[in-house]
Amino acid sequence: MEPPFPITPLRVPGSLKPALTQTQPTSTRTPFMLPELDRLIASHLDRPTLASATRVSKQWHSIFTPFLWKRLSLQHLAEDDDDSDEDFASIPTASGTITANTVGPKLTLAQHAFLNSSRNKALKGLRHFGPLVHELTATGITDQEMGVISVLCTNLRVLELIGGRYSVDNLTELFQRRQGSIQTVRFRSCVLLQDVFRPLVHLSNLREFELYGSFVGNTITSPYFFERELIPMLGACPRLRSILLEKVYIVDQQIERGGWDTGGGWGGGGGGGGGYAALSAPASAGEQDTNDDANCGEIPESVIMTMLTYTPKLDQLALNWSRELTDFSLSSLQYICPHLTQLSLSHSMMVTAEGFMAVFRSYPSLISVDIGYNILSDAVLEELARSCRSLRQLNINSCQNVSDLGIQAILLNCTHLESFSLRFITGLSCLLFNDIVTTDSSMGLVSGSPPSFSKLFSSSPPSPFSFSSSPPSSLSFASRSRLPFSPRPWACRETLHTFHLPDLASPNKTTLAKYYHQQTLLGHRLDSDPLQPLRSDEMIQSRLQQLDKVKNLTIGGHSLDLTIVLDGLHRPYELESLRITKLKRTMTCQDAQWLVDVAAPNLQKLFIPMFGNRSVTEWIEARRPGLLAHEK
Amino acid sequence: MPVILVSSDNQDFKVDKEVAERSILIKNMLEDVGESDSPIPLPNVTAAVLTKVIEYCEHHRNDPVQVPEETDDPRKRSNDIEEWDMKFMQVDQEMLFEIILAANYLDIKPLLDVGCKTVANIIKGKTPEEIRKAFNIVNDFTPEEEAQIKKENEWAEDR
Repeated sequence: MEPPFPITPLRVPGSLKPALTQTQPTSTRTPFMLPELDRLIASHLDRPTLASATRVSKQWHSIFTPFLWKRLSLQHLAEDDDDSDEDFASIPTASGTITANTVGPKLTLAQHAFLNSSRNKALKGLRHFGPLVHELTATGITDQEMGVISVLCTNLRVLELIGGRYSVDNLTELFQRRQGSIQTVRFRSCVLLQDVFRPLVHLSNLREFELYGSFVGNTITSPYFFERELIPMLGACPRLRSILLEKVYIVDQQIERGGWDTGGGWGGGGGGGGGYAALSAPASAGEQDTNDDANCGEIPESVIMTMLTYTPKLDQLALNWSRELTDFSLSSLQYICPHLTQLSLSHSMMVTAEGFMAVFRSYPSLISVDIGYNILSDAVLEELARSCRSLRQLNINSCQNVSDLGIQAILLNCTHLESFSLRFITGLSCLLFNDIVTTDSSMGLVSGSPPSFSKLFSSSPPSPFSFSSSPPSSLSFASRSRLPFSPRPWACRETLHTFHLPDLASPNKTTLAKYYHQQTLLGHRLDSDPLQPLRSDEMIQSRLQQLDKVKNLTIGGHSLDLTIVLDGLHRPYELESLRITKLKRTMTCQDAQWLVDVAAPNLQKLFIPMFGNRSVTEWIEARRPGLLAHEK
Repeated sequence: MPVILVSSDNQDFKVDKEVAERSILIKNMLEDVGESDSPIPLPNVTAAVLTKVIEYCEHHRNDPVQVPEETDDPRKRSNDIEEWDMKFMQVDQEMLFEIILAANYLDIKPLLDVGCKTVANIIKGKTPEEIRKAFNIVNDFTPEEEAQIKKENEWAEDR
C-alpha cells in the first residue's frame, strides 16, 4: 500500500485522480479506465464488496453497478403479500429524489404500488437497474413479483425459478415479454407446473431448458406428449441445444406404475452442430417413500430411440439410470447418432457386457465414457482399449466384475487417457500396477518384442495390446519369449492428470497365481515362501514415478503407506488434490506437515479419512484453512 | 534465439524468444515479421514496467499455455495466487496498475489475471471509505446521494 501523500487530489467530479508524487503528472493511468479490465476485476469480487465499490465515487458507481446487478438472486419476503391493492390510491415515492421511471418498460399502476410498498429492496432496485440484470435466480416468488420482473428486466438471459408455483398465464406473459432475450430457463423444485412446455414456445432464443425436481401436471404423461408439447417447442426454439428433465414427479396419482410416466430428458435442436442430451429416469408418481431404484420410472426404448432421431448431430449423450435400454437399441444407436464422442451409460441395468463392447466397436472416436455402476467384465475394458484409441476420460466407478487385468488393459493401451476414475470397485489390488500377460500366443495379439530394460522409460513404439482374458491353461515355451521382462510402461503416463483409484485390497487368488506363474516363467527368483509380500510398494512407486502430469489423485489401501505414494510421484509438488481413502497406519501430525509443506505445497484440496484423525485434522485446519475438503 | 524489445523510453531488452512469446501480441508480431532480427518497439510500456513484465515471463516461461476458460464464475478462484506471484506483485500501486495495463496491451493473460486478482484483493472486504483511502479516490457524492445509494444496495451487503 502506498504511503499517504499530503497533496489534496483535484476535485474533478467523476474522475479518478490519484495524486502520487509531486513530480508525477496528476493524471495517472489506472486499469479502471478500461472496460475489459473492469470486468476482470469485478469478476473476482463478491457481492458485498461490489456493493461497497458502488459507493466509492460516481465513476466507480457506474463501473461496478452493472456487475452488482448482473446476477441477481431474489427471494420472496413474506411481508409483501397482499399489500398491493391497499395502496392503489396513493403512490408514494419511497425516496424523494428518485421518481418512477416512465420511459421504457411500463409498469401498471398496480405494479407500481406493489413495488413501492414492497420491502424487498432488490426487487425495488429493479426499477432502475432491471435492464442490468442478466441472470436471475428467484426463489419462491409470487405471480406479482414475476409480473414486475417480466416488465423491468429487459435484458434477462438466464432465469432460474426455485420453488413456488406458477401458472401458465404468468409464465406465458413473462416469456412473451422477454422472448428475445431469455436463453436459459430452469425450474427447480417447483411445486406445480401445469403446462410447462406451452409457454416456452414463445422463447425463440431459448438455448437451454431444465426441469429439475419439480411436480408437474399430467400432460407430461400423455402418450401424445411429444407430438403436442415437446415437438412444437422444438420447432419454435430452433436454437435449443439442451433439455434436461430430471426427477420430475407426476402429481396425478392415477398413473399406472411402470407405465411410461416419466419425463425423460434429451436435447439438441436441429441447429448448430451437436448438442447435449441427458436422459435420467425420475421417480414415479406420488409415493412418499420413493426408492429411486425400485420405483424408477421408465421411458420405453422405442421412445428414446425415436427422440434421438430428431437429433442426429448429437455429440454428447447421457442415458443414465435407464431400466429399459437394452443391448439391442444400443447397437442401433450408431445409425441414429453417429457423431457421438461423449457417452454416459451409468446405472444401465439391462445392458450386458456384450452390449457395451458393441457400443465401443461402433464408436471408435469416443473421447469420454462414463459407464459407472454397471456390471462389466475385463473383456469390456479390453474392447474399449482396443477400439477407442482417442479415449481421454473414463469413469467406471462402482462397476462390478472387473479385475486388475481389465484395469491394466486400459492403463497399458490408452495413450491419450487424461482422467481415469475407478473408485469403489472392490477386489482390485496393487497388481493393477503391474503387467501381467496371459494371452494365448496363438491369437497373436502380443506382437513385437517386449521393450528391453534400457528402453523401458523412453518413449516406446506403439505398445502391443495386452489382453488378459481367456487365460490359457499354460503358456507355451514359444510365448514365453514374448513376455515383457520388465513391466511395460503405461501408455497414458504422459497424459494422465486425474487418477481416482479404489481402496486396494489383497490380490485375489487367480490373479496372484497368474502373476507368480509369469514370474516363474521369466525366471525371476521367487523366495521360497509363495506368500511373500509382493513388493507392492515398489510397484506402485515405479508406476507413479512415470506419471508426468498427475494433479488429482485418489488412492488408499490397507497396506498403503503415504510416504511411499508421495515419494513415488514424479512431481508431487504439482498435486492439486489428493484423496487418501485408507492407509496402513493413521496419519500423524508429522505426516501432515511433511505432506502440506514439503511434498505437495500446491495442494488445494485434501481428503483424508476423518475417523480417528482428529488431531491431524485440527492441525491441518490451523495450518492451511480450507485445505481439508469434505466429501459431499 | 533472442529477441530485442524496445521500451517507450528507448531502452533495449534482450530476451529469449520463448520468454517473449508469453506475450501473445509479441508472438503474433514475430510470426508476421518472420525471421527478421529487428527489434520490436513497445511504445506503451516504459522500461521500468517492461523489466517487471520480463521478470514475470522469465519465471513462468515453462508454464503450460492456458486454455481460455469460461470465466463466468471465477469468484471462487480469487484466493489462489502463487507465493512467487504474490511477492512479485508487492509493488507500489502505480507500478501495479502499470503492470496490469502492460499485461493487457501485451496480451499476457496469466499476468493480467494475477494483477486483477491483486487489485480485487485490495478492494475486497473494505468499506467505501477504506477503498477510497486505498486508491486515493475523491468522494464526489453529496451526502444525500451517498445515503440513497447505500439504501438501494443494502440488500447486497447483507449476503
